[in-house]
Formats: sequence, structure tokens, C-alpha cells
Amino acid sequence: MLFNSLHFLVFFLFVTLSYYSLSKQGRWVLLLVASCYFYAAFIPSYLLILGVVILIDYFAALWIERSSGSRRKALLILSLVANVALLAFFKYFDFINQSVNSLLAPLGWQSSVPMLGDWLPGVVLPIGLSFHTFQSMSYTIEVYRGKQVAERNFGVYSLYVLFYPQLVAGPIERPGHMLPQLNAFHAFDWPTVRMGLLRMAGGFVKKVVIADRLALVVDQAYFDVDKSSGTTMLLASIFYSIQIYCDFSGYSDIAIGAGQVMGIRMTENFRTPYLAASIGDFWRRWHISLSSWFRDYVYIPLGGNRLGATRTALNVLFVFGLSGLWHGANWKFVIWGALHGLYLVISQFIKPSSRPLPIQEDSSSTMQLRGVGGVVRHRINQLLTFGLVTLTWIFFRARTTDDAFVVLKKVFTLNPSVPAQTPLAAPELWLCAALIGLLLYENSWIRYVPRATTTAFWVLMPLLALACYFLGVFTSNQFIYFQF
Amino acid sequence: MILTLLRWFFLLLAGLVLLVGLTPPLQRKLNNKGLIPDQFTYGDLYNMTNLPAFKEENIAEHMMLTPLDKPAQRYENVHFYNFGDSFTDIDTSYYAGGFNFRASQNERLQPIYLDRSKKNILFFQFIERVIRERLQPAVYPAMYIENGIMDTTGKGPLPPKVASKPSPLPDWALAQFGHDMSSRLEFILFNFTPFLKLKEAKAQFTLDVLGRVPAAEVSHDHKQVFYKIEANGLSSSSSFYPASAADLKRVISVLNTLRDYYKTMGFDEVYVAFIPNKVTVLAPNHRPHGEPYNHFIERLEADTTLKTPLLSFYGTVTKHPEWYHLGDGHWNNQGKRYWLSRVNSLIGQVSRGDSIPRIQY
Repeated sequence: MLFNSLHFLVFFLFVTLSYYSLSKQGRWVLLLVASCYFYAAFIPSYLLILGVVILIDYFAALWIERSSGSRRKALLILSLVANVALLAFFKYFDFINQSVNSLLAPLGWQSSVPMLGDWLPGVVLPIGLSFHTFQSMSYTIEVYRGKQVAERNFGVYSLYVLFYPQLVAGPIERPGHMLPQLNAFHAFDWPTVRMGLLRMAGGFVKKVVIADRLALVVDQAYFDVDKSSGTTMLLASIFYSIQIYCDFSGYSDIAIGAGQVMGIRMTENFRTPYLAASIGDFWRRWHISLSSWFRDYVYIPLGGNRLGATRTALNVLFVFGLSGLWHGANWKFVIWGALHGLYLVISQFIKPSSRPLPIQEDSSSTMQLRGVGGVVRHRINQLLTFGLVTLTWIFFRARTTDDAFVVLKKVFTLNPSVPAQTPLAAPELWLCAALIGLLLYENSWIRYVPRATTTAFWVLMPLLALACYFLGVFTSNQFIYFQF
Repeated sequence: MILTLLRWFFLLLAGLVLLVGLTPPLQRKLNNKGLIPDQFTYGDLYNMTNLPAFKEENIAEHMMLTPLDKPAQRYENVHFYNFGDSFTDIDTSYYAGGFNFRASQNERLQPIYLDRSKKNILFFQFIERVIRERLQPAVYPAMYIENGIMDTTGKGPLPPKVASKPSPLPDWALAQFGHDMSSRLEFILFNFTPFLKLKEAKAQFTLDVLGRVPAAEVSHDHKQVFYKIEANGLSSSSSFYPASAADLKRVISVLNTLRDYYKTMGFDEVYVAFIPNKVTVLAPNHRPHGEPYNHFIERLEADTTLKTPLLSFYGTVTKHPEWYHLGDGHWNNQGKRYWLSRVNSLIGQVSRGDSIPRIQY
């Protein structure tokens, strides 16, 4: 079920009202059933795959908790391998098969292994598989590390994996944060509920008013990159940077808001990432739940930055390559991740005082900007960071790696006198510019908007709903991150 | 107390709406009882666009055939089988055959009994937008043979095996039960007059200020509306998408194969007719991306390698734009009457044993 659908709105109303009409025992059952319905609305058989993940990790965690020494470690490895194998089978089987074939082709060999769709017709990658597999894996790892008590209640554990607001595109939660909340009774608290509803409404505005509107330009330009001009591709690529942010952070806002309405607080996933003044800073603000997952469960166990510069660089490249692969079984995603890794590695070798490049590590979120020079330098760094990130998004958005290189070539050799082709009328482009500006500097103005009172709620909600309805674009429905 | 009552009221309402949305038969029942508005009241293109200019208030009147349209004479020695789409979704009592059967590619293999003492004719009808999409080697077996009609006398050929393998999962597991749910809910909740006014205001705002109609294509003078796929020039469904000689050859080859297959099954003859898209009739110079109308139907009809005899509708229908609905993508009862007159005339010719040319205009 898509968040930006009427089906979801009616479902949400029904589930929320039922939730507050039930006792503690009834609530987790309701949420579990509702989450199954939510997921099955895509394709019911997806639930079977999710059921396998849940069964593996539920029992693995119980056994891990009771074990010690090498047996404990072996059980963890077994459960992780099972999770990764499931993910690899559905998501990476064809990719690996194709990659092996391309490697063998120059030698005149060809693998006889058929593509997944050939021997399992009708089977497609379950939506959000990477998200819930990672969430499930974090549970067994935390139990292994002794930081989490294994959940006895199979239903509550299933709900931890299946909880509908974050089921298909995160935020990727940790058991220590979610399980206690799922086990607790949340009394109805109107201020919390109304803030959650406002958060959801803001998410809908981001998705249907901004992201789906920009998608009209992006989709047209990237549909046939050979026919689009350099200026069109540049505009479309910049718009895609904003589109993917509004799409994904809009989804996260709706998810977090929906949880908040039921008294459940979820992890923040974004902090105005395009205000980052370096790539390192960007990754502290973008898809936080995934980057912290990779940091805690891959980067630090590999040695992090404790084993010297070379090993740190290798660790960074490995983690970002893996992150690219997590996003999709395609070399274009690997290139996207590798570029980010490369930016960070290069930044390690640039001294902060001598080269004020955006790829330099700094902690701009806390740094003191001194005088006009400091502010200007900070703004330039922000702009350059945005440019570098946009460059990587080209690989993310293009249909193929070849298309991405065509776009890059067009962008870097564009003729500024050729106007960009866009399906948006002039008033709509101005609307986009205004909304993007408001969005980028959200933190500067949002605090002045009174949201804390019931009156403010009843003024803001209809305004946001009307904005969604009258300014929303309802033709591009799917959230970009659903495919992962 | 009031809050509790409100909570239960909205809970029951939301539950009821979900229940109705999940059970289309229940929705149809409520439709019939007038408890919720009928989604086809003003035409499918009006439903897609909500533009007030295309709201056809008396669409039902323009759509319905009357008993007067039934044939005055029946030809008992002809059994007529029609394999068409929504354009010819007409009750079989309007046809002049002694027995009339309407097959649909949306259903599974439909068993029939061919009475070989009669003249059995099969008539394929295609709307222009589906010709290239459906009549291609990879698609047609599933639509017109596997889900076609099957002579149960046992004398006809078995459907050929096609490349697609059966899915390892049952249909329910692969279904998307939430697929059309939002549009069903929209009709349940927001097809009442006050909501329609709001939807119209939004649609008009989007057209006037932003210059866009999201779900359909409007003619340059804003006087006609068409399905996007047939008017936007972006796919082979469009009248403005270039059609190559290879496209033509492929379609003809499939039509000839279909004719051979059904003649081997026992039909005396297989006929075909192509109905032009609404945009072909009302705005042939629409040219959304500069590409001209592709004249695909005319080229098909003129190609002598097409063995299947055909009734040509193109020439007459393109002279009658009033045969298409204002707020719907289909033709109205005038178009249907013309269809019936042509087909029933053919049934008469077959009955009398007249010589039938390859193409009749």
C-alpha cells in the first residue's frame, strides 16, 4: 500500500481509531494484522518471504542468547548468512549471473544458469526487502552483543520487523529503540497525536507537491537522454537531487508521523542534508538510519579508522561500495556508492587549512562561522557539496551506466544558450523554486510557525491538505526507495 | 462521551468504507441501490480529468441501444461469434445470427460448441490503440488463443503451447488486492456532487494555470479530450507513434495466423474490423511531438497480404466525429448502430451465400 493513496488514508484512520479503542494486548495484535494487510496489498506472497526472515531471526536470537563462545558466534553467522542469502537470492541472483556472464564472454564461455524469472516466473523482488532484512539482522547482532534481550513474544517480534509505517522504506530501526515501545502501552496524548499528524501532512506535501512535480521534468529528460539537451539534463539532474530528497524524506516524515500518532517514536532519518558543507557532513544528515547501520555493523567491526590511513580508506571504500550495492543490483549503484567513498577518502588527504574544498572533513553543524569570509566559505562549501552529490545522483537516476555517462558528457559540454526543455509552465517553475528555497532553509523559519496549540493545528491541517490537493501531482505514485 | 461517540462513528465508517472497497460486488450492489454514485455517470474521460467541459450529463441516454435497434430479421443458418473489446460490448440479441456469442480476451478459455450444420463466422474487432500492442507474436497467443474460444466438439486444434511457463505461485499469492483500491475508494467517498465540484475546480485550475491535464490528453483548442496513450505519441498505442513496415508485417502475420488457427478449428470464415481511435477521428492533426498521424489502419486495410477479409470502418467513422462521446473514450449509440448495421449486413450476406470481397467499405 502506498502512503500517498486514499487506501492508506482510510486504512490509517481505521487502524489508529481501533488502536486507541483496544487494550495493550489487543494493540500489538491489531498492529501486526494491519501491517500484514499493508504489505499484502502489494502482493500477498511477499509475506511468506518476510515470514521466513522473521522465523530465522526469532529462533536464532533465542538460541544465541542461551549459547556462549564459539557456538554463540556460529549461530549468529548462520542467521546472518541465512538473511544475506535470502536477500542475495531475490535481489542479486540475476545481477551476479549477468556479471559472471559478462566476465566469461571474452573467453567465449557462457554460464548455463538461467535468470531467476526464467525458472520462477511471476516472482519479483519483494518491496523493501533490503530494509526489513537489515532491521532483522540488527536484532540478532544486538542479542549476540548482549545489548538486547531476546524477545519471547513471537507476535511482538514479528511486529518489530513488520511495523507498517517503516516496513518498506525505513527508517531502519534498532531493537533497543523499538521493542520496548512496542511492548509498552501508549495512552492517547492529543499534543503528540496532532504533532504526528502535522508531520505526516508535511511529508505528503514534500512527496506530492514537490517530489512528484519535479519528477515530471526528471522523467521526461531521463526517458531518452540522447534526445535531451545539456541544459535540460543539468536542470533535470539538479531537480532529481531535490526530488529524491523530498520523496524519501517525505516518506520518512509520514512514517515517523504515523508512528508518533500511536505514541511510537522512530529514528530521524534526515537533517537538511543539502545544507551539508562536506561529504562527511552530508552522510551525517542523509539516510541516517542506514549510514549508522553500516557504521555500527560493518565499518567499526572492520576496524573503522583505528588501523591507519590505508586501512581506513579501504574500509570507507568497502562500506560505500556495499551501500551502493544495498541500493540496487546494478553497477550504476555501485559506482554511486564508490564515488561517495572516493570523495571521503580524498578528503582524508586534504589538509583543512590549505584546501577549502567541500570534500574536506569538517563539522559544519557545530563550527563557528567567523565573519563574512567564514560565511562565504561555508556557503561555497555547501554549494560544492551539493554539486558533488548531484553528480553521483546522475548514476543513481539514469536507466543504465551508459546513460549516466551520456548525461555527464552533456552536462559538462552544454551550450548555455539552448534553453532547458521542461513540461512545467513558468508559474509552476517559480512555485518549485519557492518550495525548494523554503525546504532548504526549513530550520530557519519552521520555528516561527506556531504548531503547538490545537488552534494552530486546525489552521495548519486544512491548509496543508488543500496545498496537497490543489498543488499535488498525483501521476507518479511510487516512492523511489520502495525498489530497494 | 462525545469524543468516544465520534471515535466509534468514524471507526465504523472507515471500516465500512474499507469493506465496500474490498468487495466490488458489494460496491456494485450499493451503486444499483443509489447509495453511492456510479463511477461511469459522466463518462470515463470525465472521471479521469474532472474537467467540467467534458461532463456529459446524459451519457447513459447517448450510450444505450433500444429494442428498436434489434435486427428485424434473423439468419438462422449463421452462427456469429464476436471477439472484440469495449467498443463492441453489446448484448448478443442485437446481432442477426441464429446464434450469437461474444467472447472476451479478459476471460479464460471459453468453451463453445460449433454446430457444423450452420455457417460459423468469427469476427475480430480491434480499437486502433491495441492493434500493435496485442497483435504481436509474444502477446497474441495469451489473449486470443489461450484465453480465446475452444471448440468442445473435439474436432478443433488444441491451443498451441506458448513460451510462458506457469507461475509456481497460485493467483492469490501474486494478486495485488490493493491495486485498484484507491480508485474504488475515491468513487465510494468522493463522487458525490459537492466533491465533484471541488475536483472540477482543481482540474480547471491545473489546466488554466499550469497548462496540464494529468490523466488525459486535451486537444489544442481544449474542446476534446482523449486517452493519453492514444494521443500522446509516446507508445505504439498512439495514433501519432510512427508505424514501420515491420510493424505492419508483424500485425498482418499474426492476423493471418489467427485466421488459420480458427478456420482449422472449424469456423467457415474469420473477419476483422479496425475502429479508429477517438483522437484519429476528432483531432488527426493533434501531433503532440510533431509526428503526423501514422495512418496505420489505412495501411493495414490496403495491404493485400492480409488474408483475413475485413469490414472497413475507417472512411465512414472518420466523417462522423459526433459518433464519439464528449466525456468518454468510446463511441456512442450512433457508432454502435453503424457497427450493428455493418455486421448484421455481413451476416445476411453469409446467410445468402453472396460472394464477399476481401474488403468491404
